Amino acid sequence: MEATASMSRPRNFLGLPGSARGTGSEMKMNRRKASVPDPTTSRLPRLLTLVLVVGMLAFGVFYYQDQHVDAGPSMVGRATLAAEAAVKRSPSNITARLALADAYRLDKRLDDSLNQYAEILKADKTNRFALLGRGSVLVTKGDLTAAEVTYKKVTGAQKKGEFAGADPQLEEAYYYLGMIAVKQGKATEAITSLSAALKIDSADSDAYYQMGLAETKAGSTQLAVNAFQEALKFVPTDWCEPYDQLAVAYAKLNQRPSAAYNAGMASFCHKKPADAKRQLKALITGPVKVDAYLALALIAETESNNPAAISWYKQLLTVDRKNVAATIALKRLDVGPTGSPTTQGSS
Amino acid sequence: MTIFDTTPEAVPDIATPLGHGDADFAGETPPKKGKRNAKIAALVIALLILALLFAWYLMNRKPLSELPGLSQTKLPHYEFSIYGAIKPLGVATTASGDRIYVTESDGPRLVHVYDAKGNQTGTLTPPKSTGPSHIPFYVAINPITQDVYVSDRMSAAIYIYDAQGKFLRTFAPKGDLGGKWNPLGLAFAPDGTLYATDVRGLDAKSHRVLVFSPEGTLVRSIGAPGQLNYPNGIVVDAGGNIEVADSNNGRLMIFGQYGKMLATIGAGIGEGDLGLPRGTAVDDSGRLFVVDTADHMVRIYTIDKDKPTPTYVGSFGDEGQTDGTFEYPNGIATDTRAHIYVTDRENNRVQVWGY
Repeated sequence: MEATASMSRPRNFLGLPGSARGTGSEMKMNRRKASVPDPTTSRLPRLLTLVLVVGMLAFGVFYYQDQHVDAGPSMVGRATLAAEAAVKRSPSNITARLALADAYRLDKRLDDSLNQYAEILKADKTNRFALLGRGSVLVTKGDLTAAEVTYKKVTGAQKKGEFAGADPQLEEAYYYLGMIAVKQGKATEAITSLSAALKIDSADSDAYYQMGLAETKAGSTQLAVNAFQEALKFVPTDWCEPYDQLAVAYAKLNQRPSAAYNAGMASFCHKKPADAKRQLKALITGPVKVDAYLALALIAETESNNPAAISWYKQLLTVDRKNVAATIALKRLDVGPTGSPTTQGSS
Repeated sequence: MTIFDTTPEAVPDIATPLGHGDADFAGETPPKKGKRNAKIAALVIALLILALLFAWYLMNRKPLSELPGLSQTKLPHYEFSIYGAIKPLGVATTASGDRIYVTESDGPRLVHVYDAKGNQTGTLTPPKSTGPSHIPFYVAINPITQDVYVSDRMSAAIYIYDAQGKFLRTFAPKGDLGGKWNPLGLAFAPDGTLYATDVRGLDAKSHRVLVFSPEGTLVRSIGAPGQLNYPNGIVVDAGGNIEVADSNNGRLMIFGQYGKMLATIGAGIGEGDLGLPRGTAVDDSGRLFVVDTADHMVRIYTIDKDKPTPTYVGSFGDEGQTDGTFEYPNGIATDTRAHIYVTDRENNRVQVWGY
């Protein structure tokens, strides 16, 4: 106890002035002189700490209020609120219901959206906007069986219509039926639906891609290659899957240079330009050299390396003198008759 | 028992026998006092830093991420959107961002005025004599008078309003313009010199940049015949150089103060290359913003006075309808509080981004 009492004393000196006890008057005076703080200097750190903390809090509050702006609802949220108000005003208005269902779908409120489509379909069983919307939501939710039933209602009702051959909604329904069939592994059904979709819109790159997948599942590798290549005609860059599929398909067909070219393009698409350049440079003396030169020039352009792009295009013209893509590209890159750029580029 | 931790490590000075060293205390600064002084010094320094922070903030009103010395290569983030203008094209803001002017190209085709929080505070209406075919396009604020200049290509006019939105007059250029003109992009130099892109005629060979003195006298024309093709947004940077979105040539052209071409940022598919540049803006940190309408994004460069071509930093935005995505953005403006205002034409909003 004795030790404890004496050991606790210095703490008292730090925090509670005038608590020296039992140490003798001289020692008490000395310790007072040494350790008992002047009340002003003792309070100063606390005061400064307080000012600092209060200052920081005040700054934080002021900063937040000055910087913060309530963003309010997003554009989609605003559309949803407006559509909800419209439906409340006129609950039996199908157009308003459709707008609300679409707004919910955009807002990713899938169940609310389905409920609205269901309300519309109670009143109008063949409303194709509602059927297509419902199908889209069901695909997003992964309920492919229900989606298939929904899309078949669209094709069943419209396939003999006057404008069936040019009906974008019918095309959409056939496309989704094909895509669902691909996912379900039903190759023949997929090919039938996708063929119907492509008959209506022969520029639907997604339908070509799905057709390639369906043909692959059906074991028709060459037809799959044709379909993937058609898809890439419309979207040649920033779409990796067709290149991935083509690399595999050509390998199956034992067409190694084409497989290597598509593997190179896939590398480029997957943001691996160094790999892509290495793979493509290995092909500039083989049977796919034209494609390889074009691809190398494209990569150089993407890297803002116009001198390299110009060089690749020129090399391409040495093996394919009338290559239109290279000629147009050189013109675009402002290469004059002497072959040097006529204006300053960004690189 | 005691509630205190009385180990010598926890309270080191109690290990010293009482009385030991008292003589030293009498003659020298005691250790505790030294510690206290150090503590006070640290607190004073912290308070000074806080005071400096306060002072810097009150002077600049910028986010802390814009403190001097921090990287200028970071990208901004989406903050909020301002709604109300239909198919907005041009945007301008006061330096503090407390008044934002937005032109709309559809509906009543007015210029909407908003406060810093995005609340509409008024509109600018052109004179009735303008007729129904007018379309307000770009807008700029005269830094000397605070008057608001609105270009109207269809009416071949620049309308001038005061800061409160009252129509003052139509800009009457002094000097020989060489026939009719169709002003489009507008920018002011700090001394009130007005720069206007002119897209007269269908033939791009006559497209140019016109420079007017603060009194409205034509000073010079920039751009050789056929050099510019639908020049859109224009801006004057801190070094006095002029950045022009040479829109249909897909490039940004940089001219010196007297019209000498210094550099271009070209069209292409590479990093920092442009597609269809429209609005341009610079901020007080030396960042250059170019709206790439066709790519639905804004490209950011830094301007280096030792290098004619700006350095590409990155871009923000993508195509879409969600917050932070664009559908054919067009105009752009910056304030001194690190905000960037972008008209998102097809989404009928102005997006506000910040650092």
